[in-house]
Amino acid sequence: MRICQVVHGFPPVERTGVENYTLGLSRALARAGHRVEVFVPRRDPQLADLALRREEREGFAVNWITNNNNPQSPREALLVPELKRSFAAFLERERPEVVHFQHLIKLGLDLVSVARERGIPTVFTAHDYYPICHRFTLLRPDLARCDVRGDSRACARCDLALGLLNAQPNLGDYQVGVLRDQLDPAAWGKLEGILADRGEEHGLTQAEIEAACEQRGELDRLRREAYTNFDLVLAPSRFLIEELVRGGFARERIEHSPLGFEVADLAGLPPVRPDPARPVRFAFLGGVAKHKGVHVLLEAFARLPGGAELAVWGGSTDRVYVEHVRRRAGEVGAQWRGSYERADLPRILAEVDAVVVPSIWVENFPLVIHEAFAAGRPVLTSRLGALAEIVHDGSDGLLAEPGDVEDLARVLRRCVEEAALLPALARGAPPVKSMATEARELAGRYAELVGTRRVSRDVAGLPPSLATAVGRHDELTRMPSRELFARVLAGLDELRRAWTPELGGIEAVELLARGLGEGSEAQDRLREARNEIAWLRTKKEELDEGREELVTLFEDLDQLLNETRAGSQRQAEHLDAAGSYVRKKEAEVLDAHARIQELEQVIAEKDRYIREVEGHVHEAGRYIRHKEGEYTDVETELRRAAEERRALQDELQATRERTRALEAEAQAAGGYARAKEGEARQLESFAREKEAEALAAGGYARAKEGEARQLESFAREKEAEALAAGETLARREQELGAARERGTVLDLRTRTVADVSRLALQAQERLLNRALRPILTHLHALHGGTAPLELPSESASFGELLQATRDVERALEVLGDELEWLRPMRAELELCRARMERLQAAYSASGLLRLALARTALGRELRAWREEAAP
Amino acid sequence: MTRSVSVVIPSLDDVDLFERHLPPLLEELGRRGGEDEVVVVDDTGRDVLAQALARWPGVRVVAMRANGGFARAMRAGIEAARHELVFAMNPDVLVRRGFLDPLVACLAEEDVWAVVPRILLQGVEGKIESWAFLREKGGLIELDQPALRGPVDGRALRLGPVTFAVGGACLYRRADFLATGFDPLYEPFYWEDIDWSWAGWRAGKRVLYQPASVVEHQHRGTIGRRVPGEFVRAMVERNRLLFSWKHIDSPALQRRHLAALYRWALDTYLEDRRDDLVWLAFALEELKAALAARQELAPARRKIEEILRLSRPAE
Repeated sequence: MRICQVVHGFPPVERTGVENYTLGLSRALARAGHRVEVFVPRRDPQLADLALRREEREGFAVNWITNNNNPQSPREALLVPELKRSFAAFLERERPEVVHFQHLIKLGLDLVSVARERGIPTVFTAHDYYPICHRFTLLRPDLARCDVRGDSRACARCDLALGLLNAQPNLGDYQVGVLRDQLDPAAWGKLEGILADRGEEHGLTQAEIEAACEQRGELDRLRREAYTNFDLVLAPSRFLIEELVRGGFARERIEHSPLGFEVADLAGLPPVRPDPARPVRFAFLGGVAKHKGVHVLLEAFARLPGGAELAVWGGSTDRVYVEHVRRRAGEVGAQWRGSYERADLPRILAEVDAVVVPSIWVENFPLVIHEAFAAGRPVLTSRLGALAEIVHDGSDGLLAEPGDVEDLARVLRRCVEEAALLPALARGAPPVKSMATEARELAGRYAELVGTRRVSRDVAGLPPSLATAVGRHDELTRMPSRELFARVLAGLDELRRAWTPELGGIEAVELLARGLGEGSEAQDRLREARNEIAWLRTKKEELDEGREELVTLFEDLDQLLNETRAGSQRQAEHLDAAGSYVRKKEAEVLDAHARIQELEQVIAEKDRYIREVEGHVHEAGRYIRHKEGEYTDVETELRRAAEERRALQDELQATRERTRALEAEAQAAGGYARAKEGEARQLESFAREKEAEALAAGGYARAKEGEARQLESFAREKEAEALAAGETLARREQELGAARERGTVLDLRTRTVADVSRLALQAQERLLNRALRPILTHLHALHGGTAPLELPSESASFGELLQATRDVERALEVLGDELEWLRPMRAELELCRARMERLQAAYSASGLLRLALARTALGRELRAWREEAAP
Repeated sequence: MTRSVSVVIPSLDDVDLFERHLPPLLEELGRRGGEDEVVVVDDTGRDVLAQALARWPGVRVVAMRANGGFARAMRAGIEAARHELVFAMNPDVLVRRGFLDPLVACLAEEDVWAVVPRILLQGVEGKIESWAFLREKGGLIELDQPALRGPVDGRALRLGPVTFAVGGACLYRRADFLATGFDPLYEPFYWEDIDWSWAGWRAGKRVLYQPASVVEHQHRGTIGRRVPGEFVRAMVERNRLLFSWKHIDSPALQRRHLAALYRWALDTYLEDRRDDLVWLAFALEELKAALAARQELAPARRKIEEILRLSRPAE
């Protein structure tokens, strides 16, 4: 089975009971064929924090996790997130099937959850009272035994009392508590007052007390949660079980399991008190600490009249107490022997008749008692806690009232005076459970837990085609990385050998070298880590320098503080006054802080408001820019409209000019008409001349031929003019077409053009009328007024005018009959008519003119006239 | 004339998937108007599908007496198939209209071993699962599905070669399959289809990708529902290695491959990458079987490097 042992220390770094027990257990489990990995923290300034070093021991391995940090608060001591992560990585790698926690101090409570989250069963052996007492011992700082369980307020009073001791000089290691004579009466009174819940009478404020209670309540809760999470709790003594149950543990999850020990080397020692004449040899072995009651033993020994020796073996970190014991031992005639190694124990115990364990605290399962029993030495101890459960008074040892010097002296005296007592007690020494037995029993317990867990992870419910592979994969995932790696290397070697015929002989190492030559991710990361470490080391050196400076500073401060303490009462009063001044100022500062916070809130609100306004401004700006864009577009449109307007005005102007031009043409047509009137007058005069010429006959006819030629030329000119007028009108029509689309103004122009055209035509008609009128008058005169010749009206149309010419023709025919000499005249008239018809034809041929006229009443008239006039 | 196709679907009790995916398949087969058939292989070993699928009378259910895994179920289904052309399909595949005809057309060529449609992962147009190749990288054979990585390459929209036809949706000849079948080396799943296509390439045939045929794949809709994701990944990695040990037939590549494996093992151990170590160990447990399969391989018309080159579209 793969087993992980978790413990707060391990030999050779630490060598007290739990550490030695874990070492022996690991060794025994390994001997029984189990794979054991021990996870243990240690300080090692040579290594980076959280560096993990694996050390192979006798069949098992110790994984040292480096933790050089000192917790800065009680909470930090309970929860160590960095170690939690390291432990998680360790479990991932090692894949233990069970984790056995021997202790959690220096490791953190949350390691338990790390194991549980991975479904690994957890076992805990309670070696002390830490699960229910943060001071481990159920002792108060005044070394009185505590009888309160599960009351955080009472526990907080211990914290406060310890805080008082923090300020006391020259106490040595006071964590376990202080003896009354170590404090001056005032300080002792204060200590007792705080522990009796009268802290306020001794300078503590209610706020300080409440804060301590709150903090302790939280820490107790954390501890309780962690410790009640184990799958199995083992307690070496029944006394401890009862205490755990009083502290809130469920009885059914606790099992009584006395510890096993490696004590084979202690068998076969010489018998106890072989020579009754010699002094009895008492010995104390173990930690020289106040709660071990060494001082009680020395005082009891001092009361013996003689006949006994006492050797004190051991040491501790409490140098003040050790020094006190060493000095007092000398005073009372005891031998101070100091520290010893476990290996020395057989030699030491061989020269001891009885082992004294004068503890004043409720010991759980002291190793030294079992070692004494294994060596066949009786034990004299306190009637207290599990001690009275292990040592049976009068059977294998003797019991004295704890802390009672006189009673212990009584017991010692009995041993001296009753020569047969100690040998008898030695014979009653019970057998000690071996570590091999312990390992066997524990392995059974582990197997039960693991078996339960395995059943819950089976692959039932999967189709058979999947179950095998899933199960196999699951097995592999539960293997430690090291084992997997070894398996992979063996497999690759098999593949290499199988391919040897194709590849030729090639060694694994060569293949590995080739592979690594291509680049290794691990190597890359190692390189990166090395760089980072170098950088961190530099930073650490800087910090160390700073720390040294701080230490010096603190030392100076300490000195100053001591000097101050040694000063006069007045100075103390001054200090008190200064203290209250400082507190007042602190209160003021707090008020100011509160005010600052208020102001900061106001500022934050203002800031928010400003940001809102800025947002609005931003929005408005965007809106304005948008509108500016629109405005620009509108301006552009306006400019374009203005340009169009100007263009239209220009067109209007042009149209006006064209209108004026047309008016001018009309005027010109008027002039033309007047000219024609002149011509008519000339024709009248010509007619009169013809009358004279008719009389003269021949000359007249020649003259008429010349006139006829003139008329012909005139008609051609008129034809050209008509064509020109037609073209002009066509242009006007095009302009009108374009102008009509532009609206009313151009319509007006169209109408104007039409009117002008009509006026022009009317002018032409009037012109022709006037041209014919003298001829008809003249003919009428020539005809003697008998012919049906009627002058056309002033407004005669072209048709009427044509009819008039036909009338003239007919009149001339009548005249021809009568006046043959007038024939040439008729020929001229025919010519004249022909010219008229050509003129009319010219008008008709003028398509453009016709188109213009087609839309007018005049046009219709013209068409009617033409049809009427057609032969 | 349209060639008839047997659609073979190996399945556990994926009734909900059939509810969604059978109707469009049957509609498409009906539209083709031939004598296509659907054969569902019930691999539960409990004969639960016949009743569940009874409402589709055109669907024939072949029940396995005991659960035997994907490869065996596929073989049973293909043995029961009536037509020469077989469209192998997973229950989590949803076909699109007109998917079958372009595939059938491809198999008209004798040297085409198998043809795979454009398989859209979860129906996403830009995620093409079946434009898939093998390549060698640092001595290791790895699967390359470029059209799952990024923007779709224009070549993924053209007919062309692929290293393998994804077993969850592809068309091949019944006789070809029955001649070899899937290698049990890869049981329970993954890479057996790659191995089978590889056999075609080794024999001088081709495997084609036909993008004109489109289906959708609800990826891992079947296996992922039954086993943890980490196991699925371990199977993929295990079978990738088994494939390599069976098929790497060039000494130069063998040497590179072994060197890469040693480096991989060391790196993963040093970096606490346990998953990789587990994959390697998982595969090495089957090393003997892989080497035996290697011994049984018929002489190859093409070597690994040539296949890797030919089974990719030109750059």
